[in-house]
Amino acid sequence: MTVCPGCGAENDDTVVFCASCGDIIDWGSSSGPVMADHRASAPSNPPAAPAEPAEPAGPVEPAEPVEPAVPVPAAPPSAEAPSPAPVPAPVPPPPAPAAQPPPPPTAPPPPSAPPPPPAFAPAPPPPVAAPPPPPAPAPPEDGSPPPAPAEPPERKPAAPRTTATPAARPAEPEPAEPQPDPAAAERMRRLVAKSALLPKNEPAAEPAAESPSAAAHAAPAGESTRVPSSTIVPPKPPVSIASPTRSVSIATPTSVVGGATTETSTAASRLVARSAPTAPGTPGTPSTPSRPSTPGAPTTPSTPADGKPGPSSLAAAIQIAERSGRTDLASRLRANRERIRRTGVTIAIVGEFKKGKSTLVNALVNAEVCPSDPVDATVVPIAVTHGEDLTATVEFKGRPSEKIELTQISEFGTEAGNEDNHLRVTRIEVELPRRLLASGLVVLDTPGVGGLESAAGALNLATLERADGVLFVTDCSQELTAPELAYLAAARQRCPQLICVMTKADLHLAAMTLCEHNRGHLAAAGLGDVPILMVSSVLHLLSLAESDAHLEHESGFAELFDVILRTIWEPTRTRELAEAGEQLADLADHLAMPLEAAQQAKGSAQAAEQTIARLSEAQDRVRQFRSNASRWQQRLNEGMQDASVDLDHDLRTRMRTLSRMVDGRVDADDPADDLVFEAWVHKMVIEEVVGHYEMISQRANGLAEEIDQYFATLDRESSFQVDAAVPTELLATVHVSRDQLVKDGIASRVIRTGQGYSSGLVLFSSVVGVVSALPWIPLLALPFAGFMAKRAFSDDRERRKSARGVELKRLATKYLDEIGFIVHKDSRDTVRRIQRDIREHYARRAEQLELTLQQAMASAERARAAPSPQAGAADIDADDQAVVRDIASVARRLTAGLAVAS
Amino acid sequence: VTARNDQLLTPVRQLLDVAEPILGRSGRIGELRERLDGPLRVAIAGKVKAGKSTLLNALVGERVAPTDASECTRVVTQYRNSHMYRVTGVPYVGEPIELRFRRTDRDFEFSLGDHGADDFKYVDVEWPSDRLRDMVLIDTPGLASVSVDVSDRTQRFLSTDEEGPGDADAVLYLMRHLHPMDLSFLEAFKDSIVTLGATVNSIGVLSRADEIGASRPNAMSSAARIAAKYQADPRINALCQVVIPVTGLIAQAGATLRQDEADALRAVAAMDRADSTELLLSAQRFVTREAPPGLEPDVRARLLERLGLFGVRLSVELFGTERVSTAGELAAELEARSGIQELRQVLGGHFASRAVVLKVRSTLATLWSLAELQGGSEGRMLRDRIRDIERAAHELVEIRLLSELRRGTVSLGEGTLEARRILGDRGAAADARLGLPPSTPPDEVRAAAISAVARWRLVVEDPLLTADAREVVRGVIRSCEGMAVAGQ
Repeated sequence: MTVCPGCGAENDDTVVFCASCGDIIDWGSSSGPVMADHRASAPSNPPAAPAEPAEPAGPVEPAEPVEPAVPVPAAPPSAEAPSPAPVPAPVPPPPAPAAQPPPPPTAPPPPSAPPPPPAFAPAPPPPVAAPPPPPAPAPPEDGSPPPAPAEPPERKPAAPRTTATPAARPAEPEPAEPQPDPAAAERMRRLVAKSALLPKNEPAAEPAAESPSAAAHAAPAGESTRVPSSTIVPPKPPVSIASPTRSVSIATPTSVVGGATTETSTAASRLVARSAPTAPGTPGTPSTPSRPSTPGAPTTPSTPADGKPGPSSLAAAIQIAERSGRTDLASRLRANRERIRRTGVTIAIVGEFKKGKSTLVNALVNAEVCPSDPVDATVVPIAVTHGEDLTATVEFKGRPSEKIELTQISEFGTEAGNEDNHLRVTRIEVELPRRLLASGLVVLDTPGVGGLESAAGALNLATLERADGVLFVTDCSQELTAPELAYLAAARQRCPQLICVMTKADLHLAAMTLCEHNRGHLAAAGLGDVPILMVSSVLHLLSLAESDAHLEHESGFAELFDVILRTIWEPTRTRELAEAGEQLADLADHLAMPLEAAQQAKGSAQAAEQTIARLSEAQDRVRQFRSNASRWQQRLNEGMQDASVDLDHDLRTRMRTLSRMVDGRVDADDPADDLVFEAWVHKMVIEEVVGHYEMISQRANGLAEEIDQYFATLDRESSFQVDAAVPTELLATVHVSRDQLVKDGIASRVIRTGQGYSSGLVLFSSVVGVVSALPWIPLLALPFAGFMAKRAFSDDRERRKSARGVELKRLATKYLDEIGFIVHKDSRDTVRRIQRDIREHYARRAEQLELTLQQAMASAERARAAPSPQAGAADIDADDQAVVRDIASVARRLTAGLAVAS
Repeated sequence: VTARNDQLLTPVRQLLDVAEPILGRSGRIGELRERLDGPLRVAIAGKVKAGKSTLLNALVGERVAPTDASECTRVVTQYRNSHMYRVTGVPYVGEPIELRFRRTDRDFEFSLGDHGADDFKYVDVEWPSDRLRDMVLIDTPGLASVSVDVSDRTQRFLSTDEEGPGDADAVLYLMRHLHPMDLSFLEAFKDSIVTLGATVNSIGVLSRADEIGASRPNAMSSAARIAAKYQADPRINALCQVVIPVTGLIAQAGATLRQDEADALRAVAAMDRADSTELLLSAQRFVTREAPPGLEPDVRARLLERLGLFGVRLSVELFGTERVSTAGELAAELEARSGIQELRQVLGGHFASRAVVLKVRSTLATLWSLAELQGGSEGRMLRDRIRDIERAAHELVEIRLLSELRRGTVSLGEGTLEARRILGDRGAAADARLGLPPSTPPDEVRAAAISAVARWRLVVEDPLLTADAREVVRGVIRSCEGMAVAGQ
């Protein structure tokens, strides 16, 4: 029985809509047990996350007990397996041979990874006993790490059970599935094992349910096969689950963290590398001696050698930071952990008007959050994110946000109550308890751009800069049109992770053929690599409601989730983790410096003196660097002034060009229709304004990089590097990676989640934010509509024509003037804001460095004072060092993921 | 009416006579003269896959234009009534070429032979049909097609180029559910209509109405809401006076339904309720599922192709609830629900009853641009004469005033709507103009017209009225006077 949240009536568990009031029954909240259960296992929900102890007390946490179990069982003892994947695959319990009848348990080369932690099933449908389990495909699994380890052991055994009953799934319809039969069986099992979805309901199946099921959701069938095992990246935990047969070594970030602890030798080698003189420039690069193990045996299954529960190393690091009074580092570490756990991945749903975007979003998250009405279209972006409770918030331009009822969304978000967005809503955010979203996934429904060549289209395009992936929605009723193809091409320039989705597949028999045609069109337009697939949101929702596996298959959603996972989620996750890795490396260096200073100072009085001298020299340099008079500050001020002038000029040039174009059009082709003219002007204006903001972005990025050079230079000049005392990698790493990022063009999308401090990278948020902040600027003043009403109209055609031309030019000039005024002001403000951000960012960095140096100095002094430290203290130091090494090695692996991916 | 038409036509014919020696190149004048005597030429335009050919078939009531799931119409094709079946290709250069065609009871196809679609200006299909007697229908390739040259062909046909303005007297613009600010959408309108100078000659059709809202049973009522919304939108209203929701596929099926198809639909309706629901869940299911004999997959595929999922669901529902029992009843019901009848009515009211006016308009427009090209004193003289004709014929004045009112270039405040109606916005019949119910007795019509004259005479005295507005009001008064006189 499920209680309808709306009217309180009791409903059968299998229904989607309340029988008495028609409300959608939210599975997330109604089937509490399911969610709760999953939460327990999947720490994706920070609050409930047991595994990766968010709290320093990690080890003590209740969840702890589970964890140890995991890593331990998997014991392929290679202690040091820097798996190519940044993550040491927590070895899965060696697939119990007996247990897994059907699927040949081993995939030879790829270290089989235990299915990652419970992925979260999207919205597990409430269904209970229906044999065909709703294969709620959940897209990417969440990044929640810790719990993963716990499950594997139990899981495997469970699997066979389910497999044994390959519920009749007549025709395994996935032709594309290169997998061996066993894999199919496994998939089927997943589909059939309803228990997976409802662990609580079916205790017997529970073990299996925990991970595989969840995983099943996470990894749509066939996933593993498509992912070459060689390209293993941390973020695809779900993959392994998909088919045990070919389990790819995937490690959840969590497991990474866990495994790290054990990697003693790596840490040691790094330590060695560090103490050895290193070429100044190289330290940070991946191939540096410091991480010799990484390149090695990529495929070797790495296993946490010792039984130490790994997950706590981050927590331990936080403790260390706090113990030494470095709350700044502690909070950065926390932010970092959060980032590893939850990757913010924004998927924007774009497309023409009335193509089924909102319905697609609803189907993706399995809840009716975006109003989908046959008549009234969505007019404001609706972001669906994770939240404990179902809430909706409306953000307005120029006034505070408001909480609203879910049922009110259509009042604010669609033409029904907000035609032409006269309420000036900037965005509606809906929070929804969904495991799918708990991973950090954000699904963004955008207003149909009403003619992709319109002003709205240009604007929409600008916002894609911030998205990690784009689902371009068209429908099966017709082929792609020329404007659609043009939009696709433009969208891909801004966001390469692009998927073309054809909705309403259930309505059109010719969908297949159309899909082929579209593929041809895409290829002809040079977009041949854009995946295109057909889905039916209606069938998907229905299948969830009725637990009908066939329907689900027909809906095409499994494949959609699969493709999203592969083309959007995984690359983003890899990148995110790599960035997190860099930050972590930086943090590790900060933590390590005092420890190592003590170490070096310990040997002899002379060594101590040397160390202290070096440190104080560095300190001076940093202090100088921080002072107002320093070169970088000057450079920043100058650079910003230059930029400001140039940008002014840029804007003016653009406005002039526009005005000339308008005049030209008026003169040349005599815009026969005011409406066309108006729409055209809007479009041109928006394009230019977006261009201007992109230029701001570009200039600011350039300047930031330049400043970064100063910083890097500071560091390079310091003796630390040579002596490996400390920040060798600290800044260099950041710097190098920055280059990489910039080269890859991803720097521009680093921010989005704004999860606290990241070394060097946070900066970009303010810069990148520029473009995304713009959408509301130019639309405010549009004096155009109806402007021709007062125009004198004479019977004489020539006179009419020229009078009209004059009037049009006058109005257009006025309009452009207005736009120029608004944009100019905003552009200036933006530049100032960026300058402030850059300054603060680097000042903070320098400050942290100085603090660390102070600490190092203090510990070196201490070492000098007490040459033979007490045994207890030494132990603590040793422990700390171990922790720091672990973290550093985790960081390296995470970062290596980037290299692998790119 | 005939007398009135002659009054309109005579000066135009005379003008053509005058123009012939001046502009007499390439037989354009002869063409214009033929047009003037022939039936009204209505083009069906719209974006790719808007359902143009399907609608054309529905209007004719036979499958004359080939339709397909992917882009199909690649060359402008005109369908006109004749005593025999014949297909002729009219190339840009050279003599018309007779084309081969194949006609079965289900289909009609012609081939361009060795020629490319690019070679032809248009293809002329002669087809004996009553429905084509008053109207020549012109099917156009979709705008916004991926194949640019296909779109270009339509643009070329509908828009002004050196060969003169669009080759149609009136336009049915098909739109799917689109955003009104779609630039290409507006531009398409611009090309097809504005060059003709007025929007009186265009009707908006919300096509493929059955697919709105996921083809749920209420698709048609949703479509009606959308159409009403469009019609109220000043941006669209400025372009076409009415927007009518039509589902061409169902109309076409209704017009051409066959007994075996009806039988198959009845068989589906006779199935177990649960089974038929399953079957109708999606298009793929409908074709691939197991079903009783008589419903072989190919039969079902054919049904789906003919009716669409919505049509099949609707028919099954109609049979299931016993609202229809025979093929004939089903066909009638489908036609009734498709919106095609409303469209025919509007076509009659807006186009047919004004055919002469519209033809004169487009003829004059063509002549105007030819004269402009010609230039010189002769060209100027021709243009002066065109202007004279336009001023003299109240019907033409009406249309011009109407289009100005509709586009908002002149406003009469609260009186705007009434003025538009009187000028013929809702149809040219007197009762429609005066806002009276259809077939009102002549006496009442006359009385209403006289009182309207009195009212508008007061308005015209308003000293604050702008010159443009006063011109409109005068036009309104004259229309009312005309009706008052006609009633006697």
